[in-house]
Amino acid sequence: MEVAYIILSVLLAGSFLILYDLPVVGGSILASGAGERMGVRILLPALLLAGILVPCFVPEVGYPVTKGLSIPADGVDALSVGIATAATAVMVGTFSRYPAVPYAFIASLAGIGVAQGIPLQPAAFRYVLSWITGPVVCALLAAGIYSICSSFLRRGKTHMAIQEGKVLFASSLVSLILLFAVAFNNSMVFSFLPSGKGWLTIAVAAGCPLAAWFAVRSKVLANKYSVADNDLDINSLSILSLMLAMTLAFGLFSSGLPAKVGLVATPLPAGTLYLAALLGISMVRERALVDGGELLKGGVAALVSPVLGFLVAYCMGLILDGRVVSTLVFLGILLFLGVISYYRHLQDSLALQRQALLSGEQRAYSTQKSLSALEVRAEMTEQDLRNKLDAKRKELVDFAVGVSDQKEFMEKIYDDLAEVRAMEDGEGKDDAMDSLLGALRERMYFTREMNDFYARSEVLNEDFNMRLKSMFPNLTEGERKLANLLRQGFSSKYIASLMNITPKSVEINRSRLRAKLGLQRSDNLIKFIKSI
Amino acid sequence: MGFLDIFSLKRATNLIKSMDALLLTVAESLTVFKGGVKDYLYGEEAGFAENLSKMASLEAEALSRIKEIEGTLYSKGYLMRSRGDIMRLLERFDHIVTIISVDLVQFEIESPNIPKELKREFVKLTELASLAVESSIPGAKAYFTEPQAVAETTSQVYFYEKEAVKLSQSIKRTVFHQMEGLKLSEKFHLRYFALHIEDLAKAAVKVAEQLSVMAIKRSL
Repeated sequence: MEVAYIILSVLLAGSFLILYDLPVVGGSILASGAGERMGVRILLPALLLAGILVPCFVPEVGYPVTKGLSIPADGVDALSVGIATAATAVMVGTFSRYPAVPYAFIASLAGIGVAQGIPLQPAAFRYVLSWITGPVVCALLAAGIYSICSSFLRRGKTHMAIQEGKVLFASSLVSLILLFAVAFNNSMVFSFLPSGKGWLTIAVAAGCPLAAWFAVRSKVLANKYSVADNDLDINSLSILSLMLAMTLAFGLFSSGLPAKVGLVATPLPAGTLYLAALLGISMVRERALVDGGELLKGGVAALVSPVLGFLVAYCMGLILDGRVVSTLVFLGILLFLGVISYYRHLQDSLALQRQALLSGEQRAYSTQKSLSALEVRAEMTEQDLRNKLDAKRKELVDFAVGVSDQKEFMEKIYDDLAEVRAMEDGEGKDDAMDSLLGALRERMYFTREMNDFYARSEVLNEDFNMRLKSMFPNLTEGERKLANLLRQGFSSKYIASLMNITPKSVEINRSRLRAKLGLQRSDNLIKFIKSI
Repeated sequence: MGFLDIFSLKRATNLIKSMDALLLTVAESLTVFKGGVKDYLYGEEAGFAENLSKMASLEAEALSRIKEIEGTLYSKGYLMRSRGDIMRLLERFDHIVTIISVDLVQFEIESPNIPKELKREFVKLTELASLAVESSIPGAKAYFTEPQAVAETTSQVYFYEKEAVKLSQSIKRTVFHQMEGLKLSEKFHLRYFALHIEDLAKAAVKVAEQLSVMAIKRSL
């Protein structure tokens, strides 16, 4: 059972470490270009595992965090530390992308110890100093490395590919060491593992990160690509300086060197070091490589994480110890913090929902706008078509009038022909005949135009003709033509000209049509035809 | 072998060689283009056919170089932050080779009837357009070694392009205003070829613009 609690605790703390620290390291490696090299991709997981397992195989190396702190021997206490770390990471994660998970973890260790009545040793306060010194050292290192490397690389007219090749070479090497250093430095989460259990310890040390990795894999990958593509859109030398500074900081604070200046070896959060390194490089380059707001949030996260971790763990320690009043006070504080966190989370969710709603409304509005535009266009098209139809009708009427005029003209020619026949002068007769031939040619055109007129009329009144045919199948072709012309409002005189009959014949045809349509004397023929 | 490549600069050296070879191919294409146009104008059919086949092989070579460079840049992590710009630049050079090849093929297919009095003008236009492209090559090389020197070379490109455009306009003016004996279709044909040669100079300007932006980005 004890081992199960420890495993659970390691899993909890390990998951949040992987979730917040690995994307920063992985994103930096990816942005440097080293992540695209086959050799690096093969070696990285091996070195990560090596960093975790080295303390298991080489006990004299020891864990970097056990000095000055009481390591809980009890499984439940260990689980409390894991829960406190996870809770802190969740709370700090609501306002910053870089919660200082290792700080929270160590503060939780201290918190649980204090709750159990073990006073904090003076060495424990050195952690606070080290947590401040770590990022400062990292920023200074990054600034120094960038200055030295840029002055070294910019010497001479070396080809960019060679310069970048050298940087890539260094980045590949540094990325391997960086991952090992991060894993080794943060391996404090295994400081609970019962020592001396040999292969069981190794199996838990290797298995827990693997299980934690699978639990948060998709989010880690998404964050990693976000860091590489959005945050680290800077030159390769800056990325190399950043990685090297982080590597040195991790290495430095995993060694005995800090102890020589009154500090302690401590696990450091990759996110905080990353922001510090970017700040250092920004100062050298005199150009902001990181957003000020992000930097501020990261700083606050680094300060708040240990405080919260301590409080949560202390509270849990009191609960476990059975002290009611203190427990209630701390539970109240915790509840308050939890409510604040939840409120923030709720606010964020609501803001997101509002944003989604707004974008949905905007989409709906733009769709509505497109629909209205389509309707207007359709209306305009319909109107346009109606106008065209009217124009065609008018054209047809004009055409019919023209035809009628031509007919009158033909009658005149006919009379002239009679006169010509009566003429006796041969020459005058020939001239008159020529003009008559011309007139006859016009007559020919007239017939063709009449057919054309009827064809156009059929097309324009296609619906009417079809309805007429289906309602009164006994009508002749001539009667349908008459109905058509009446519908278009032609007078009997024009109809007579158009149909090449006398106006009297038109009247007779109208009477026949009325009879066939079944109309009474009182019924208006034209109104009836128009109503069809 | 690939595993140990992470600590080797051999690929970087090969990349430089490939990029230099591509720029050399562009320079060779310009020589072939100038020769090809001259051969066409002065009726050297055998020479023109030789230039045409040489151009086809140069075009294929440029394409294979581009693919090779793209492979190294995008799969081996080289020039991570500027590879997009570099590829765009090299593709613009490849486009120039394509323009040259297409122009020569069009001369072969359409056999434009170029009047005697315009032959010298066309040769001059070809040379000016080629000079614009030639001036952009040292600029491209300077970007990799000495980015601050890019500006000097780009101004030359702009100058030659301007001259090429002026000459092209003068040819078009002559064709449409002074050559009454030509059919309208022939005039259009001549204008079309002048435009195509002018396009080469315009492509060089695009290279120069790209180089200027890249040099500024590198200095940041």
